[in-house]
Order: sequence, then C-alpha cells, then structure tokens
Amino acid sequence: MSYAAELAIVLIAFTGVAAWVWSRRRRDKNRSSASSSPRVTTEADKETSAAACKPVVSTVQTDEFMAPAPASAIAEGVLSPESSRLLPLYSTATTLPLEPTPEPLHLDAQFAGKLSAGRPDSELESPDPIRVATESAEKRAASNPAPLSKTVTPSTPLTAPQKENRSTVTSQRRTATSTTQLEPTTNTSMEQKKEGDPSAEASRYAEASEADLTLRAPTYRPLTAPAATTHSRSHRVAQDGLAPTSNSELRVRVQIVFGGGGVRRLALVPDRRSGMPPEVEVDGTQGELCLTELSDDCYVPIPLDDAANALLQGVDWRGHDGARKWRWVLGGRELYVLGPGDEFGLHGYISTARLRLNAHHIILATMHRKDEVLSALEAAGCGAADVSDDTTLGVPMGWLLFRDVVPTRPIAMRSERDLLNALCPTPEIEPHFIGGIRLERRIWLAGHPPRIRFTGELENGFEVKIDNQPAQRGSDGTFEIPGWDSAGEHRIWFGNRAETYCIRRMNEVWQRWRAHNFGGGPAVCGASIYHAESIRRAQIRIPCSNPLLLGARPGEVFSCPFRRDVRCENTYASVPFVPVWALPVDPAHADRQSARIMLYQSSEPHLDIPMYTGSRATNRRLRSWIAAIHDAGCKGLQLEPGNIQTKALWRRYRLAAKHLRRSIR
Amino acid sequence: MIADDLLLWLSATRQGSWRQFRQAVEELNSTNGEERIEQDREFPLHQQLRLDLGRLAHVEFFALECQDGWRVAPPTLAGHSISGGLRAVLCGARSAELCDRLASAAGKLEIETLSFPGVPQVIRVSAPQASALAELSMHTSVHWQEDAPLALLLQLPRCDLPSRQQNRSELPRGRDWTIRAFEPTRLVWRSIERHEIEAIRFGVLQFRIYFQRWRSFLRWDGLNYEMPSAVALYLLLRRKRRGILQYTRGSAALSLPAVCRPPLLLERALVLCSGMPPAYTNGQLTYAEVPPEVAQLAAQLLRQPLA
Repeated sequence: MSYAAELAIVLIAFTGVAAWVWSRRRRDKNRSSASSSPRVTTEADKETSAAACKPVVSTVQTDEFMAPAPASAIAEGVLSPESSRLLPLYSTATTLPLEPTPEPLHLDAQFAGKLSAGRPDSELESPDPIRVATESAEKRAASNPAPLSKTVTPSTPLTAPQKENRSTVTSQRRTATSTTQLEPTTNTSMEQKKEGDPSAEASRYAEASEADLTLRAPTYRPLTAPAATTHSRSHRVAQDGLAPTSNSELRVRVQIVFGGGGVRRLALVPDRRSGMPPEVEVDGTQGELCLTELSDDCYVPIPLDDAANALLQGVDWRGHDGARKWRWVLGGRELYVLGPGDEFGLHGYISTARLRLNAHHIILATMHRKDEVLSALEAAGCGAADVSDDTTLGVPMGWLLFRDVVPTRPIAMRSERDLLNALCPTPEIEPHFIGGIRLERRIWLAGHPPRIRFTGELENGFEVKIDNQPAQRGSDGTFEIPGWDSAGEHRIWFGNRAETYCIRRMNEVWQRWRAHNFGGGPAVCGASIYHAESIRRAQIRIPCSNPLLLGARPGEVFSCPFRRDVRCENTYASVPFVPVWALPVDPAHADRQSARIMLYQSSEPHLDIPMYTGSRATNRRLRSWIAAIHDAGCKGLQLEPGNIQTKALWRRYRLAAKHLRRSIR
Repeated sequence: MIADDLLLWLSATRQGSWRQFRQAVEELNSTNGEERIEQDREFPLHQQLRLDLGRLAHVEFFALECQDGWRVAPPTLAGHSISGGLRAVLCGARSAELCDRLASAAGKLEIETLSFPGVPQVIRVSAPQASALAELSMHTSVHWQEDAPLALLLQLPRCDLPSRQQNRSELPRGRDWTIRAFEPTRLVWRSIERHEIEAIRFGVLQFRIYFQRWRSFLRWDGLNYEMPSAVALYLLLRRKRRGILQYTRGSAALSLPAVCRPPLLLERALVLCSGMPPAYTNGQLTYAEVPPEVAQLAAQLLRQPLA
C-alpha cells in the first residue's frame, strides 16, 4: 500500500476516533445538564381560587428516625459524577440550608382535609428515584451515616423522603424527656453518624432495583439507650404543651379518642411552629388535604382512614406556602405508646416516645407483638392491661389496644435499637398540671386551679414543697398544701428543680361596644341596645299610637321613630330624658274618640328654664313642647289613666305651657 | 359543665381569636385523656358552643371589633314580660363573685338557676315591677335591658332582597368545591353539580371546600349575592310562598323547622323571651314563652305568615 493510502487510512481512523470521543463527550455533557436542571415538581392541578399559596419557609423534620434506603433500592451503575450533584426535590427555589449532617428524620405525617387512603403511588409526584437515591448515597457517604438498622421494616425503601431529609434535617439536639419523647434523642442520631462504612453504604444502595424506587414513607427508627439526659428549659416549656422553639422540627402525633365502648376516633395531630400559616394545603400519599390551625402548637387532628395500613406503613405528605416547604411523614411502626393529651391541650390520648412512670398510657401494637408487649409491660410493673383486638370498635385491623397501662418500675433501655425500648419507662420526674381553667401558660383562674401530679420515679424519699411547705399527697396522687389554690404566684420545689404557677382572679371589667350596627342609631351588644353617645338615655316601651314624648322640662320633646316596614303595637325608644307624657304624633288632628294622652311618670313641670337661649334648636323644641300640650288640650283628648291625679297633673302642665306661650310672644 | 367553665374562661379572657376559642374548648373538654362531652364528627363541639353562646347573648363572634374571633358581652339582665310581672335573664360575662352578688342582692326577688346540656347555667330573676330589676342591676353593676326581645327585634332589618347598590357576587370557581342547593318544597339540602347551577334561576346555594365553613349565595333571577344563609333561605321561602312558622298561643311556643333556623340575632331575641335554648324535637325547633307581639314581629321580619 502506498504511503498516501496509509496516511488516508490513518486520517480516517483518527477522524473516526475523534468523532466518537466528541460524541461521547457531548452525550455526557447532555446527561450532566439534564441531571443538573432542577426538577419541576408540579403541584396537583388545582383550580380552586381558594388555594392561596403564601411564601413558605422550608422545614420538615419529624420525630422518628428514618432509616436509609435499603441496598435494593438503587440500581447499580447510577453512581456517576454527574449524579452526585445535589438536586432539589422541588422545582421552586428553596431557602432551605443544606444540612451538613443528615440526621435520621423523625417521620410522622399529618394531614387534614380530603384524606383518601390507599391512593396509588403513581398519582404522586415523585422525583427521579434513581437520582434521588444516588444523591442520598453520595451525601451519606460523605457524612459517614449510620448503618442500616436491622429493624427497618421491609416495606419502605426510601427515596424521595431521604432526598428531602438532606435539605431539611437540622442538627438540633433533642433530649429524651417526657415531652420530647415524641421524638427519639439526638444522642442516637449522633451515634448514627459515627457508624457506617460509606463505601458499603454506596454498594448497598447500588444493589437496589429501580422498580423499588417509589415514593414511600420512611420507616420508624426505634429508640436506643440515650446518654445522660438533661432537663432543659425547652423541655419544661414543652411539658406545658408548648412546642419546642425550633422551626425545623415538626412532630406528628397519633391521637386516640375513646367513646361508645371503643375507639371513637383515631387521628393524627400535626405539629405547627411559629410562623407557619393557619392553613396549609398538603399533598402526598393520600391525596390532597388541608391543615387548619388548632393552636400555636398543632393543626386540627385529622381522622385517619385505613389506620391499620397507615400506622404500619406510614404516610408522606408535603405542603408549601410559597417559598416555604414542609413535610410531615409518618414512619411506619408496629408499636405506639400514648399518654393523656391534657398536657398538650388535646383530648384523648396522644402518642409519646416512651412510657412514663406512674402515668396512664395506652399501647397500640400489631397482633404478633402481643407477647413481647405483655412481657415488657409486666417487667415495667404495669399490672394487668386491658387488651382489645380489632373486633373492638375502632381498633385497626390486625392491631391490639392495651389500656390501663400504668408502669411503676423503671426499666433500662436496651443498648441496641429495639422497638420495645418505647416500653421502658423513663424515670425522669416531671410535674403535670391537670385540669382547672387555664388562662395563660401556668396561670389559672381563681376558683379553678389545676391539680398537681408527678410522673417518674417518685420513690426514694421524693419530696415536694409548695411555697416552702411540704406538700401532702392526696388520694388521687396529686400534691397540695393549704392555700395552694389561693390567688397569687406559687412555687413548687421537687428534686433539684423548681416550677411556678399562678392563680389569678377575674378582672370584672367588661365594656359594651357596637357589636352589630345596622346604620345610625343604637347598636346591639349581647342582650342590650347600646347608644355610643355619652348622653344618658332612658329606654322605654311606648305604643306606636303615641310616639310623641314630652318631658317635665319645657323643650324636652322627642318624636320616636317607628318602623314602617313592620306592624307592631309597641315600639322601643331610647329617649334622652325621662318622659312624662306620650301623645299622638299630631295631637291637633288626632281622633278624639280613640287617641289618648298617656302618663308615664308623675313629675311636676319644671319652669325654671332660661328663655331665649339664643339657640334656634332649643327655641324650636321649646315651641314644640308648648304646642303639643296646647293642641292636645284644645282637642280634649282623653287621659290614660283617667284618674283625678292624672287630670290634675295634666292641668298643671297646660297652665305651664300657657304661661310660657304668653312669655315668648 | 364544660359550657360553664368555658364561659368563665371567656369572661376572664374577654376577647380573643377563633383559634384561642377552639383551643380552649379542646382543653376544657379533656380530662385524664377522656372527653367530657362526646363530639359529633359532623358538627363539632366548638361549633355547637359557639352558636349556643351567641344565641344566649353571652358572647359575640365575628362581630364588629372582633371580626376574627370573639368578644364576651358585658353582663346584662335582659328583661321580658311574664304574667304577673317581669323576669330577667343574666346574659354575658359572669364570674362566681358576680353570681354571688346577684344572689345576695336579689333579696326577696325570686332567683332560679336552670341547667341545660351544652349551655351555661341559665340564671333568671323575677320581679313584679321593672324598677326592682333595674335597682338590682344597679346594685350588682350589671346592665339592665328592659323588654330585651322587643328592643332587639326592632333594631333588626327585615329579610329583604339585596338593594340595587349591592354588588353581585361571583360564585367560587374550581372543581374542589362541594356544592349544594336548598329545596324549599322538601326543606332539605341536596348536592348538585356545577353545571346544574345555571338551571337554577331562584335558589340558595352553598359552597364548601375541604373543611371550611359553608359559603351561602342567594341566586335571584340568575344573579348571585353572597349573604347569610338564614336570610337567603327566608327570601327563597317567601318567593315560593312557603310558610313554616307555627305559633301556639296557649303555650306561647313558636316552632319552625330546624333546617330553617332564623338569623342569629333574631333567634337571640326569641331565646331571650325565656332565657332557655330552643327545644329540638323531630326536626323542629320550639322557642318557649314567646309573647304574641314578639312572634308577630319575628314573623314579619322573616317575611313569613304566622300560622
């Protein structure tokens, strides 16, 4: 072959290689740009004009731990440099700060509104699961996440929720107290961070199949033995039913209300934080819902349909308010511990993280956990619990309800994650203010004070002092001293802590106001008719036939307005003086047979008035007063009552009017 | 009872938001994890209490100067005529001390306390003359309103069509709204679809989305006006010449179907005739001790004949 031919062949080969490399690079570039473009997560097609979106601050954090996606959740080969770029889950810009360390999410969810269980996942807006999973894996690999929990239920591989975790998890520490037992301790989350082999994590993720990448709620991560817990002020505040101050934590609690011989209602109570709107529309695994505020701390409880599946598998809902986004996720679990909701300002029983010593609880557990639960309750000194299965009204299918659970013995939690750690009663002593009429935080109405009770390990010389006096324990387990319910501030000392509460008397100052104003005239306020003017008025009932009112002083004349759109015998008037006589509207032309002059109050005429005050209105009223008496007298109208005293009084008024009439001529 | 505790709380707090009211109901209805009053899912307890407190003139909800919530009315002795004298009902804010003062100042006057489920205790004082009740109110620093039912009714407008100056309303749009229309012949609400609205020339429509309150619209000759449901209903009943009021002179009882509950202030006037909430039986509401004059005036305001 000639040199030229060889050269041509080489050039062609070189061109082909170059073209292949170029095309490869271009493909990779397209893939990269596609992966970097923000995914548009469109909202459900809402046409309602009532759905007003407000700027939303991103939050989302729930109580339960969320286990990372199982290894099968991610397809092999998706870990590419391009996919490692962090992508937002939603299309809109989020103000969420990127969390440096992804703590497991406490996932509970709550929705109000149209709660339609069992909505297919295909109806959900789900991001690219592969991309989400890879991003999560990459982030987890970078931050040494905890290994997968052995207790992760097999039903929920995590995809989008994890993605959301990355952007919403905060590093806030929470200690396990009686109130913050709604969420596990951050110590466990810290432990999670220490463990785990990133490469092993990534490989496990790589093994997942793409088919498993659906939007499912994360699973519950059981408690583990915490480090030494500290009682912070925030927990004591939370003890009062107030939410922690962090805006990034959203707890969702399960609420059970009894009635009719069973469970009358099983609902979810979503947390609310300061700054969150009074109404939030959410969307998720069970359709579109709307949360409506109930208090500073929570939204209105939402009755839960298909509770059996929802409690086990969990739910995942997301809401936004413009730029701010939230997420409520319920991590499925087989065991729920609930305590009285009084402290949270809710009726019924509300889910909590752990049992508390010497407090009433109910337990909700799946049937195959029965023996374990009973053993754990026995170990905690609970005595015989009342167990109801799903034949009882309201108990979810496949679940058991344990009532009258009162643990009396502290049990140390297991060091490993165990669902039954929730049945290990916490020994921490906490005060509880039950009942009464609470006006504000720790302020109760005098005459309706709270009952003071304690939970926790109360043995070993537990003492309570109220106002420096030893408090006695009553038969109902509450503590009191003489005068504990008197008005003023009181101080409770117990253990190494002190709390205060206040009893306040009612301030009996209530003002009237124009609550219902129908234009001009008097307004309605409660049961009274109210004039805003400072003039003191006499309210009297007068017959519609005699609307012209005369007072004792010359010039006191008032023509009562009466309604022409309705017929009534009597009308009601607010008169600026005390009326003495009621005359027909036109005495000079009244019917002598039927018209009457009515006496309201027997008062002598007052003639000590200055004449010609210079005010045209005053003079006009004076002349009207005189003319009315003169005309009625000339007409000879009958008096009512027609007795001698009335006639004599009328005669004196006529004389007074006659005298004045002559004076002003 | 929870209603008594709630009224005490409202009296102590004086004014607040709707959310505070709901939370107070929630707290007071809970004791040791149990509900003191079982709630109806369709008609929550807080709504029941709101309406009852408004009817009994204890609290104003969503009125002037409390548009977003509630404000407790000042304590008032609301008088009404009875055979042989007058009787007054204690309305508005109350405290234990106020009730004690009232009892001690009443002296020889007859004072009675009645209990009804779901409402605060009804405290009534009877006297032969209005001056005695006026004096009692002065001694106890309580307002005195003579002839409260009549005085209240005379301030209320008639159920009339919107004036020409009133702006017409747009019906809510969107497919998420639940719509129902009132049937004046059967006196029931029935669900309808949006496309059926155009066929209704005269009617009353209600719209609701999610768990919000119903919004009521009067559809009159093809035009829509948003107004209180009760007013719209009675306008429609008048057009259909459907009379629903029944008055029994012997027992002085005024009855009407519960679905056609009158406007709040008019109903308040009827309740103040006795101080007692209306009795509900077989879908009928019955207001007791209503004088003929008050019944006639109420019927005229509702544009209804009085049977």
